[in-house]
Amino acid sequence: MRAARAVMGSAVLAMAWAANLAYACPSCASPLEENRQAFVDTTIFLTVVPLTMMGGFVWWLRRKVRERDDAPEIAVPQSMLRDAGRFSKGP
Amino acid sequence: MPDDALGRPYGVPVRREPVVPNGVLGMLIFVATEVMFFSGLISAFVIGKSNAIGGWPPPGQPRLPVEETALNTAALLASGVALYFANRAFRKDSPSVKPLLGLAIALGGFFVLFQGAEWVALIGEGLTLTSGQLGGFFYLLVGTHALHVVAGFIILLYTYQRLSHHDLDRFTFWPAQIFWYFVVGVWPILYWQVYL
Amino acid sequence: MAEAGTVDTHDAPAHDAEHGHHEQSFLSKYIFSTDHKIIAMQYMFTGIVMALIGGYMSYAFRMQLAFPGESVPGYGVVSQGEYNSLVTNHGTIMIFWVAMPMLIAAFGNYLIPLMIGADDMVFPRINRLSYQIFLISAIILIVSFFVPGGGFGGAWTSYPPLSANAEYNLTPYGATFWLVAVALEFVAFLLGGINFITTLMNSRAPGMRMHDIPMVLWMIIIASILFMASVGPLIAGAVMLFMDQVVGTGFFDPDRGGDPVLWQHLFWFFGHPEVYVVLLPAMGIVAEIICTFARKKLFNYKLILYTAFATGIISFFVWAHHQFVAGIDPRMANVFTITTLIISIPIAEMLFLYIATLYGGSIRLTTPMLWALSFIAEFLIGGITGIFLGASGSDIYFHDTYFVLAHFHYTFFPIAIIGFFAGITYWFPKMFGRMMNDSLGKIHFWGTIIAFNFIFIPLFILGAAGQHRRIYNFQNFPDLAGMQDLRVIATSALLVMLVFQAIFLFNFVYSLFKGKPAGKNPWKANTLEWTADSPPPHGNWPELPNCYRGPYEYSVPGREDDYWPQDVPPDTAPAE
Repeated sequence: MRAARAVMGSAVLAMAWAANLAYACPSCASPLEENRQAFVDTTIFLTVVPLTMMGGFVWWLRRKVRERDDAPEIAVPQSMLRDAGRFSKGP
Repeated sequence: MPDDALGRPYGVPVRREPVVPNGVLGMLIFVATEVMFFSGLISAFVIGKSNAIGGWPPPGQPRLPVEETALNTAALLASGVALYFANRAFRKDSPSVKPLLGLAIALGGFFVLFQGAEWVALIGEGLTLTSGQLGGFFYLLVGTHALHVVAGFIILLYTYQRLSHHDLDRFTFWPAQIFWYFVVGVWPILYWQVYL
Repeated sequence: MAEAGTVDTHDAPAHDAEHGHHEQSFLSKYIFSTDHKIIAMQYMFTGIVMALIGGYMSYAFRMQLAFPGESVPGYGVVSQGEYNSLVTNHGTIMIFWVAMPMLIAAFGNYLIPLMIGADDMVFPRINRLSYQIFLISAIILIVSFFVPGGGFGGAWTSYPPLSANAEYNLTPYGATFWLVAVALEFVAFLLGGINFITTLMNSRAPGMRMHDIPMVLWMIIIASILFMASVGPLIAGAVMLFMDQVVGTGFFDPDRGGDPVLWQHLFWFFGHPEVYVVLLPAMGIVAEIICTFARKKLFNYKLILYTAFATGIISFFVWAHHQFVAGIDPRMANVFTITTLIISIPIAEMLFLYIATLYGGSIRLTTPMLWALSFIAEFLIGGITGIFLGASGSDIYFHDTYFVLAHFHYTFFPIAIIGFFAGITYWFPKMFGRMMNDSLGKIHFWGTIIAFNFIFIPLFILGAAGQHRRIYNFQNFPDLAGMQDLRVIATSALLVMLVFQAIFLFNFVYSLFKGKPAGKNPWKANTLEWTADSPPPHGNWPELPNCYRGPYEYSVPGREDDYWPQDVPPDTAPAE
């Protein structure tokens, strides 16, 4: 019963992909199929790039944190704490 | 170790070194924004291309110098590789860091000059910003990238100058490299999109 | 991120000796300061000035709509061109020069170092540069009203070809000034955002773990990340539009093979995440306030945090719902309808969690608490009316009507204005060392909230009747001319609301000099900023605090006080 409902639901959702069969759409007059495709492609592209970057950064960060936490605890000398480069604040 | 009422261990917490140094983190965030900026430009270009009636590149426009730019692309990529080896030498305190960094800078400079010469030739052939979609997008995309190359070139020159004074620390060198790798890395994508 | 202790790049006593004990000139102390608190004040006061300008503009064009063609007191007769320019710049100012600087830049700069127990941002000079660029952008925008042709009149979304071609918008200089101002403003917030994220990650007090960070900071950080990730394409679009205007390229000109929809594509990629960029800080401010005044722990801190992250991620999937009518692929319209409806789930979830925080608490109805509660109520109306607009079918009817206008004012007013008032009434004692007058605050609150609803509920009705936005005079439309009463109600309510703001300004200035001294912790709150002096000195603390627990340990059983500040060590050390 539940499976049947899930199938029905997915089928209804899948019909959304065929929406351009309905003629009530405002953009169906566009003669350029490539243009429509380009908008879809760049929409996907623009959405995926920032999420990939953020995800990648979080993954990299987790790895670095793990590495640090696995390393034996050592006291950080004061001289090293101060050395953060010329553009960071500090003495 | 016993815990307090909230389940946290007693004891005075200690400061620890940041996982990512300030300068590196700041530069990474900046580069992420730049990546989005170039993604926007590339998306605009893809849509611009798709609007062209009669195919791309538009007929009657000058041909972009694909082969010459392939050479130039190789020069820029080589510059990135040189910088990578310069960093390895820097971490080992080896004396070869200076020539390697110099090589990376020289290749970057070569890229800018070569591209300038290419632009002069193209303008001579009649490809300008206002001559059509091809000219507009070409100078927009390649020109924006060229500005970034010049900025990265200046940053690398600055690190070289600090290196000559034995004053370069990894907290300056590392962000500078990140920016240069970004400039190098985005170029092949632009080359593939714009020229090919 | 299991453990959060980090390195401050220099030790505190040395810093204090370096900065604390020498007098600075007025210029270096207040104008060219690198101190995060001064920069926050600069952002806040610039934001207030811009809010007054934006409010004055809404006064001028609402008067024109209620009493068409008549001379507006304090402005004069509003011409068609001026009307366009007023509407455009009202929107632009309120979003980019009021909501962003007051919520993100002012509270972000002020609270991030104080709440994480740091003495300043990690890049103080970049911070100062950020404000300076922001100020220049504000000046350019104001100058644009006075150039030949007047201020830009192509709507705050600036759609080409109207915005790209001076023949259409009739504001050849105004359009370019507007574009340059907006682009500079983005650069300013870019620099600010780099600072915020880096500071939060690297300068936290020893012992402050990821889940010990006050919620408002998380929200500001998520907002900054969203901003940084979404602004690039808009800057690309702005560069192209600038070249269309100035150089004469044809990127958005269909005559020359360009594509005007491309601008919308790039604009809304930023434009919709921008809504969440300003929403999340306001949500964070509200979270702080309801915990303090309900004397209860924030209900399910982690769930709120993950919900905020989810909102951020989903906000990248919704932007094309602004283009349902512009002509996007209908397959895409379907996908974006679904995602748009989905994003209301995390927002509703957060509001429920806030209400759950209130449940069973010992609520104290102070002025900031009233603002926080009204945020939840008013934003809810804004959120619910958004559902109609997110569905692509009903959006075709509602598109660009006053229904849309009332909807986003019901979101942006709670965000920018209620959120700001909540924050300023709550942190005023910390910022200036004196309490604000509570009675005046409550009079101001009720006057503002009631008037606000009387402005925009009539506009919902007008919008549902088909009244379109950005029209100079509705008397020219027979179907709409009869509903003039509703327009007059809205305009009268606006006048009432603007008058009540005078009470706030008076209360602000009066309390600045004559208010009751506040002491360090007038609200008995837990977060670290309340352990510093009010107002905090340069460097914030003589010795930077440690952090021992989460920020919302109110009414912990078995403790005498009903609050437990983050920097107080546990009562008894264990006997080994």
